[in-house]
Formats: sequence, C-alpha cells, structure tokens
Amino acid sequence: MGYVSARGGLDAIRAAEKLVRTKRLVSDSNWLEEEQILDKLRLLVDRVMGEAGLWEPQLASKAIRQSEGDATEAVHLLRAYRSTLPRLAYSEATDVNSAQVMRRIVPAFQRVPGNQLLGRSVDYTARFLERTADADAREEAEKLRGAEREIVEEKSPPSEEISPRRLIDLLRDMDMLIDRRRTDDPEPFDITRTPARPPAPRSALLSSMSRADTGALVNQWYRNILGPDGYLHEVTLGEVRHATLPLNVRHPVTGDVVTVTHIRVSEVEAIEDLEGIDEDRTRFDVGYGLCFGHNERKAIAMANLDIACHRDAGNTQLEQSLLLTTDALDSAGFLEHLKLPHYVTFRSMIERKLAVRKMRSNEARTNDGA
Amino acid sequence: MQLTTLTSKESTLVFRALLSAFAFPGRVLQLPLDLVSRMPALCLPMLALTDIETTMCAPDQPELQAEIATITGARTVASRDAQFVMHDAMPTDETTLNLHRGTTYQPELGCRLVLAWNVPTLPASPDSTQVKLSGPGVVNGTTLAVSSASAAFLAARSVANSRPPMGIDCWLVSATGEVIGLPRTTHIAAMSFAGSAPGKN
Amino acid sequence: MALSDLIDHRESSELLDEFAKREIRRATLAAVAIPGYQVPFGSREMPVARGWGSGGLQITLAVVHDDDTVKVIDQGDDDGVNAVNLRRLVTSSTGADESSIASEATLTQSRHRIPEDGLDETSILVLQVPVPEPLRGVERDMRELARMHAEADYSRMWVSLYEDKVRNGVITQTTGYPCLVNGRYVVATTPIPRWDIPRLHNAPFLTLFGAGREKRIYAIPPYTMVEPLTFEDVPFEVENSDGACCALCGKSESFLVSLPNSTTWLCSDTDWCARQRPAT
Repeated sequence: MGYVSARGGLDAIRAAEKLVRTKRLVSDSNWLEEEQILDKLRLLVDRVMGEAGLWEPQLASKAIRQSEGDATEAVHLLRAYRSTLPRLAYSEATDVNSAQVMRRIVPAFQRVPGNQLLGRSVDYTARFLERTADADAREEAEKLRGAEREIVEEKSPPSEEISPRRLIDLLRDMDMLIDRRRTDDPEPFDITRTPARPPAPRSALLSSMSRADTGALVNQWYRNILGPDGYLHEVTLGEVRHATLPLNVRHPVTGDVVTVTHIRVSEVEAIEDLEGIDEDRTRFDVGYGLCFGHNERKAIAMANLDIACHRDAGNTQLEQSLLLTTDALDSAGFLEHLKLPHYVTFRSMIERKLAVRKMRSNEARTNDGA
Repeated sequence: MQLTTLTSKESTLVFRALLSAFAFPGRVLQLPLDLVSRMPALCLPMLALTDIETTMCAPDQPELQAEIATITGARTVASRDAQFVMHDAMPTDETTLNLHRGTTYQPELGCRLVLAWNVPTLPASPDSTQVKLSGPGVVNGTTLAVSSASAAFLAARSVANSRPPMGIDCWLVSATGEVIGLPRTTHIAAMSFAGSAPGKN
Repeated sequence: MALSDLIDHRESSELLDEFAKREIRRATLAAVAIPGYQVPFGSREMPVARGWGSGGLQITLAVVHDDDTVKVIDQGDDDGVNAVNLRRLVTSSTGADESSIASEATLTQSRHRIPEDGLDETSILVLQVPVPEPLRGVERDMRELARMHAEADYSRMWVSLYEDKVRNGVITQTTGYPCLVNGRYVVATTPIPRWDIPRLHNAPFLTLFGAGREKRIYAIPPYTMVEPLTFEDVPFEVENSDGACCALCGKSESFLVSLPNSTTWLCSDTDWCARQRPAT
C-alpha cells in the first residue's frame, strides 16, 4: 500500500543509510584522512567549529568528512555530539589582552604601536585560479619544504607585537571613546541553557552571533547596509585579529587556575561614528566581534551588528533577527522539515477551501432566492 | 541513612512519580520503595531534580542540605531565592509567603516546595479536616485529610497562589515515600470545620 | 556527581547527558503546573534536525526508562519513515519497548495526530511542535508576544478570527487551531487536525508539547479545560468528509485522509484501522 508519503519505514531507512554509507566510504580515489582536512581545509574546519560552538579541530575534521563537505550537516554532527557531553566545569574569564596575535591589522590608522601584521591572509593575493598540474605543484611543495628546513630560528618578535595594545585603549587615551564599560560583573547569559529572546543582555547577543551561521551574519549585515531592513552604518575597523587565547579553568582539587588548552579566535573591534540626534557627536563608540577560528568576515559582521543593535535600542526588530534567525541548524532544519509528510495538514486545508466554497454558494443561493 | 547519588534510572523513576503527582493533584503516589528504604524519602525530589544549575535550601536540616548540595552540585541560597525548598515540618506563614512566586512574564520561576507529610491514620483524628481539591488534573471528589498545622500552611499557600499564573508548587512526601502533588493550579476548599480555621480558597 | 560518573557516559548510547534530562524535567514540571504556558528550556541539539521532532524527542528521552513502552507516529502512521527513525532512536538509547497499539504504550510521541483510542490515565502523549506560538499570525515582535501572553491580552487573536469569518463565511483555520487552556493561556495545538481538538478537553491523559527549535515546552494536564477559540454563534467545526469511509476498514469514525483523486479515503491512524479489520 503506497498511500503514505514514504512507506516501508525501517527498510527504506536502512536502505538509504546503506547507500549513503557505501557511497561515502567506497571510491576509487584515495582515503581521505582527517589530517588532510585539518591541514588543507583549515578554514572550513574553523568555520564549522565556530558554528557548532565546539572547539575540537580533530572532531570537526571527522564531521566534515562524514558530512561529505556539507558545512551545516557537519555543524549538526558536532552539536548533537556536544549534547551527550556533561558540563564538567566553567572556564575562568579570559583576558583577550593575553592573546598572542598571528595577524593584526588596524585600518583606522596607518601606523600603530605593535605594528600592522599582515599575517596569513589572502586579502592582497590576486585571485587567479591556479591550474598547475598536480605533479608540478607537488614538486614546488617539496622545494618549499626543503627551504623551510634551512631557515634559522628567528628571534621571537617583541611582546608588544605579539600582544599589542588595542586601538580602543589608545582611543581612550585620546578621550575619543564613549565609556560603556560596566562596573558590575554580571553572569554571562548562557544561550545553551536558556533561550535568548529580546530584550536580552548583550552577552546573549554576542554569544548568539559568535556561533551563528557565517552566511546569515554576513547577509544580515549586508541587507542592513543596502537592503530594506534599515540603515546600518558602515564602521571603521579598529582591530582585526587572528590570535590564540588560553582557556583556563580552576583545578578541581588544588583550586589553582590552570590552562587546559589554547584556542584560536578571530577578533574585531569596530569603531562607530555616532551621528544620531541623541548621540554624543564628540566621541566614537565601539562594537565587538569574536568567533572561533580564522573567520574574519564573521567577526567583522558580528562587530558591526553588535554596535548597530546597541544604537537601535529596540526601535526595530534587529535584535530579534540576530537572536532568532541566524542559527545554522534552526534555520536549515526548519526549512528542510518541509520535506516531512504534511498530508494531515494538507487534507485539512482542502477541507476548509471546500467549506468556504460551500458557504459562498449557499449565500449566493440565499441572495438569489431573496 | 546515607544519601547517595541517584542513578539515571532512579532519577527517572522519582521524576515520573513527581510528574504524575502534578498531573493528578491530590492523588497518593509512591516513590520507589527500594530508594525509600535507603534514604529519607523527603530528600528524593531534590536528589532527582537538582544539579549545578539550580538553587536550593533546606533551612530546617542544615546537614541534609549540605549533603544534597555536595551530591547534586546545587547551590545553597536563602529560601526566598531558592528554586527548591525542603521542610521537614510545615513552614511558618512568613516562610511560605516569602517563597519566590515567579512573575507574570516568568511564572516558571515559582518555587518548588517539598514538605514532609504525615499520612493521617484512620479513623480521622479530631485534629484533622477534610478539604476538597479542584483544578486541572483533579478528578471530581478528590479530598485530602489535613491536620490543623497543615491547614494553616494551605491557607498561606492559597495566598501565595492568589495571582495566577504566579505561585508555588508543592510535593508532600511521607516518611514511607508516599507523595502528593499540589501544583499552584490546585484549589483547596474546606469541607468541614473542625478545630482551628480551615484552609479556605 | 563524581567526575567518574560523568566520564562513564562515553560508552553509553545516550543522546542527552544527565544534566540535560534534569533541565528538561524541571521545565516539564513547570509546564504541567502552569497549563498552556510556554516554558523556555535549553533545548539541546539532537540526532534529528530542528523542525523534525527534536523537542518531542528531548521530552521523550527525559521521561522514558527501560520499563516503558513507546509508540511513535507521524500523521497517525507508525510506519512513516520519520516515525520509524525517531522510534528506533528512543528504543536504542533508552531500552524501552515499542508498540503500535496506543493502549499498550506508556508514552506516545506523535507528529500532527492524536491516536484515535487507547490513551488513558496511564498514558503520556508527547506532541512535536513546529511553531509553539499561536499568535504568530497576528504579531511578529517577540516582545509584544510576551506581553500578550503575560497580560492574557488575546484581543488581536479574536479580531483576526472575526475578520476571517466575515471575509470567508467560515473560520478558515485549518490545523493547530488556537485553544484557551485552563481559561488562561492560548496555545498552538501543533498541527493536529480540528478533529483531534475535542479529545484534548478533559482528557484522562497528560499531553506534553515539545518545540525543540523554538526551545519551549508546554503542557495540558489531564482533566483540564481546553476551549477552541470561537464565537458563541459560530460553532467549532471539525474536518468534514461528507460521510466518506475508509477504503481499507470501511469505517467513517476516524480521521480520514484522501488520495489526490479525493474519492478514495483512508484512516490516518493506521493502527486503529488495522484493528478494525478482521485478522486475515
């Protein structure tokens, strides 16, 4: 009997699973190692960790391989795994000024203390699609590897380059920045335990954006700049950083603070020129963005949207959009749920249409008779 | 009696009894007997439901309070701030009236109160009153026998629940592990007047 | 909990850690104590996608133990692929038994239907909810939605139903008809058909609603007033099938769904249908 959408239940599922698994694992090409994904697709790994809210590059590589390259599917695998993990401890707050930068630029000024460090970025690389033959590329790789071995250990860069002073600190020195720093120390909002809805504390907004879908945040930013949503001011970027940060917890026995691992983050400070009627025209304000891994466009969008949300002060539904429509799994899952059987609802819709027609024809007959 | 961490299944079984107690207020249900034989039944709700992300308080029993906090990781706070409060006797009116009732925007913040309950013996003592229950989950004709001390508590409870959806939710637990649920939606009306002023809705 | 207790989880097939279950349980208890109120909870990601029953699944996993028997249906069908997938996740991770007969099940998880029979005081019904907000059609701003529920201000809903009736001659709400629970909160009855609504009123069973994506749990306790929103002179209408009968069992007393030709009808509750037919 084939009247329901996809019948034969368990058999169908098992057959589909076998097909997917076989096609994924069996092929004529070489086995894809996790290390290869980690090494060669590092930016995808970083993006997936950021959207999953789970820092574990090895697991992210596994997830990307299992999802056959579908980033959102990989995020789902990681988050579902995360759900099985108990919370062992809370980390200590990390001072972002203890970060060690690998890349740091400050567009707002030409020269800055600690220097502009271009670092590993394709920003100024010409986008030519390389069509060299594999054999030639491998030969080049071998040569480069050999050259690397000959490089003498350079002396480590000065500490003001590794942990440079932030631009906003310098702007504060210049008395150019509004001071919105809190004097209290409220518990940060935990979006994994309590769903955030507007009006929400800033920590809820920042953590929601930190693990939002990259495309969603970029789109939110762009439609606010050019689209119908609202006029969002383009910022001047202060800091754009790719850095490592220590993750510290208190030892359960000794009570000492210990570093359990290091994470890499992209961090952005966006300088906002205030030009609203009620705003302080003599100073700047700042928006903040931070996300796992090397994902600059997400952190920049985040910083811009942070300050935009603050300036919006609840006038529009920007906060609602950011809190509730930027999660990769919520949006994709709900969209794709349309593939589930909906024949009960559809049957009910048809019934109402017939009811309306019947009512109208009854009314028409009544009017004719009158 | 030594308190221990509940296993996953034990937590689930206790939770199911507590859920049924709220779904069918006034009905006498039973907490798992093998647990009741190993530890004070009154402690079971907190042991099953609380953890590092909740707050609790057992002001009459500081040693048990400390043990429960250690086992579950729940934070100990003042009773007016606690999500879970345990008493081995009827609390004073002041205590009951100060328990958190939630807000109209967040009624779920209302306190869960776990009280020791003495199952009255038959025949009904001169000190007891029959009260009639009504509200969601209550089957017609459900009654409870309450002592005069309990009647006073029920009156205070009515005041705490006088502005729905705010209110407090209670479980009454006997030494032998019988449990009765009184969520905030349950109205309690006196049926007979015996002794002191009855708990009247 | 000792660290060693937590580390043991690695070998288990559990989909949710112990703390997640406790949080869901606390939210569920609050939901039963405040009928119809949408209790927020830290909805975890599940092996099924958001929108596919992650909320219902979380409730089921928090409620069920290995002595339970579980029925899972989608559109009333035990054998639909999504129901099968959810059921095997539940049974494999909790050890519960399964059954397609509602009266044998201690918990039924369902998408879009209430089983035609078999639910009594010993049953728990878990409904999967795509959108828990009944007022979504009349208001988009969440701050205003929160106020409307907090202040029991459902006037915009009433106006919208009135306008619907005036414009179309009938109230055209299809499934998920808005209902007032315990005289206080208006709820989205998930997309169950109007056919099933009267069975929520004063039911002997507890109904739990899980919205995983929106991270809300709500409940209708047993023996609770559930009133579909309508007007005194506009009686609530269930789906009409003009006396059609099921092509398999011949009965007309259950909710029927049709083939595209709309002359062949079949019971949506496949297990009920099978029990009407003499065993061959």
